[in-house]
Amino acid sequence: MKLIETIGLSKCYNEDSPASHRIYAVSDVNLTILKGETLGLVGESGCGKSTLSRMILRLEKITSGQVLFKGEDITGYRYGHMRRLRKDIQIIFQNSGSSFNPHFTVEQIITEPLANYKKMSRTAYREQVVQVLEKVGLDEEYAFRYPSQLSGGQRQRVGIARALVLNPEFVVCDEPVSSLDFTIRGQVLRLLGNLKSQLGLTYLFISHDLSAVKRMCDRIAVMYMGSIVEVIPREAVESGKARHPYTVALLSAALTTDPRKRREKKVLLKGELERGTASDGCLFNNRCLYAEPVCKTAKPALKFVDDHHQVACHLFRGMQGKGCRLQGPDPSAGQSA
Amino acid sequence: MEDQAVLSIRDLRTYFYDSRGNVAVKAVDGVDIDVYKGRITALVGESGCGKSITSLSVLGLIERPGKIVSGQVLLKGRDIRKCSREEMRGVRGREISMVFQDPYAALNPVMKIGWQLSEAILAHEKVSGEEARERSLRLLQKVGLDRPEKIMKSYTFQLSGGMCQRVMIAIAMASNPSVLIADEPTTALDLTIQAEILEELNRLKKESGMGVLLITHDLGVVAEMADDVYVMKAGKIVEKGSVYGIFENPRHSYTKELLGSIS
Ligand SMILES: Nc1ncnc2c1ncn2[C@@H]1O[C@H](COP(=O)(O)OP(=O)(O)O)[C@@H](O)[C@H]1O
Ligand SMILES: Nc1ncnc2c1ncn2[C@@H]1O[C@H](COP(=O)(O)OP(=O)(O)O)[C@@H](O)[C@H]1O
Ligand SMILES: [Mg+2]
Ligand SMILES: [Mg+2]
Repeated sequence: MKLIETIGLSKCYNEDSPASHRIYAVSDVNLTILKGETLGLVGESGCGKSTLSRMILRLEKITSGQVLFKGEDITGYRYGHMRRLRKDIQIIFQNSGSSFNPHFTVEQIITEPLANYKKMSRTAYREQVVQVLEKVGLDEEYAFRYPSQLSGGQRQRVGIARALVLNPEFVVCDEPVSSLDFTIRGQVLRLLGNLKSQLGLTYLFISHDLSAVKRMCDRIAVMYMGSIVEVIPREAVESGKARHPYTVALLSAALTTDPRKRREKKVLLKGELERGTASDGCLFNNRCLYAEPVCKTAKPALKFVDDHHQVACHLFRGMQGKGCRLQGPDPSAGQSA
Repeated sequence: MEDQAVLSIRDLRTYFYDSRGNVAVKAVDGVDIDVYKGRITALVGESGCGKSITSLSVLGLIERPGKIVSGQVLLKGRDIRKCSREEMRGVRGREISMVFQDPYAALNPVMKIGWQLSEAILAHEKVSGEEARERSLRLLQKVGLDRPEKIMKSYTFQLSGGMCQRVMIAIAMASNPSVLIADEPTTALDLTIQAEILEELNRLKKESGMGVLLITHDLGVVAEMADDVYVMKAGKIVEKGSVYGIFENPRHSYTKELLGSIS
């Protein structure tokens, strides 16, 4: 079942500027998130991941396009409708700690969203808080602590508890472990995985870290300058079927975890992202090692190459052909770990 | 490895004190590290374990309430902790260069890049302005920047993070240092740019034969770059070894825990 669907979703932060100066942080995104799956969203910082997810959660004004939740168009939802929806769709931020009121105890932090929806006795609130803390692996005693008395990992657990206390169906995890130390990172990722299967959650898992994404996600959407360039099942990534040159470059740039698998050439693109460059062609063409004339003049559409695999690249001829026409990248290049 | 190390840190201790003069944090607590010519030595550990304070101690840049309590920093056998402030200024940037995590913070925002580079060259060599300019251009090319003339005329805000980090590396390479200390040089950068900068560091190390002390919290960077590895925890080195030894046959439980977190 489609839990979330976006249709032509776009975001322009400078709508008031003349048309030629408008910059789209997200442009024309068509994305489907199935109930029960974890969809990864990867791309370099600034490519529009947070903006896209905030539009899906209706935390950001939508410039154009639609968001459907269980088939229902929620784009125009206001107050009452939105309030009901809020319970079902939640977000865990990179730095949950910084969004906490420092003068609130953990109990108050977690009770806040709860009190918005359910009027209960104090002891009932307390019970719910203790329950959700237990789910995220924190003892009851943490309920009385202030954010400053928590470690980074514990704060992130409280952030997760706060997101889960209303029993949502859909949770956006926006770089949930990026600010955590390695040993803690593993614990929090494991926790998120367990909670998902226990509670039957659906995740949109945002990260610039491909290894975390490969570990957590069923499908991965790769974003470049506001557009989705490839949506690919995890197994396809693992068996070297990534097709978009940008995805291949990202995979190749990922660091190995085995010093015997170092490779000389890891850089499979040129230059750096230049923001605000508008182009009639493929947005990646100026960094692509394989660009052809058509790439400068026409935008490639996101096309299915397989049941669950979509690519937006002129150089890829679709599933009838021999697959990728690209000569350069070794398709297994990214599989270092 | 029998060669003498270019940089040897011996029993280094750097503490921070509270207002009453008691030890508040033993940030570096008896550290020994050897950095060899033409090799990359990684110092790896989680944030707060004392990596940056180790490198600042080597460079003599510890300020109050911190203090280097004991230890030696031997540069080609000479204990530079005995150097005067003036002498240390000569050591920094000439014999030991440094690259930090945040290039925007390390570069001067109101001076053009060309100026900052020339200054770095002129700081330890008496050459003409014209010669300094020529060398600046060559340095920028050497660190993989395409349009050096344009970069020379730019301010930092006009450059991307990856370009700024390359400029930092160019400045660090200006004196042909025997040791480069790189403290989380790619932590703030995107994956593809990180790969480029690491590739660049490797190439420069090979060309110049300098010893590199690479500080990182990222085991991926270690696996990709290091020859020798020191694992640090709470101010102490808990394990050292070749990169293969550390990854394939870790002995200390903390090293095992770190490695467990990435597999
Ligand atoms: N509130 C805002 N106003 C103007 N521009 C913004 C705002 N938020 C984000 N942007 C711009 O939109 C682009 C996408 O940002 P973001 O969605 O945060 O990217 P990501 O999460 O992938 O790092 C960036 O270029 C960013 O500068
Ligand atoms: N100016 C300071 N005053 C007090 N403690 C400090 C200061 N700078 C660093 N420390 C402490 O020294 C320890 C090591 O810090 P640092 O070397 O920066 O860690 P990292 O390994 O992340 O680079 C930390 O516990 C930190 O809190
Ligand atoms: Mg973001
Ligand atoms: Mg540090």
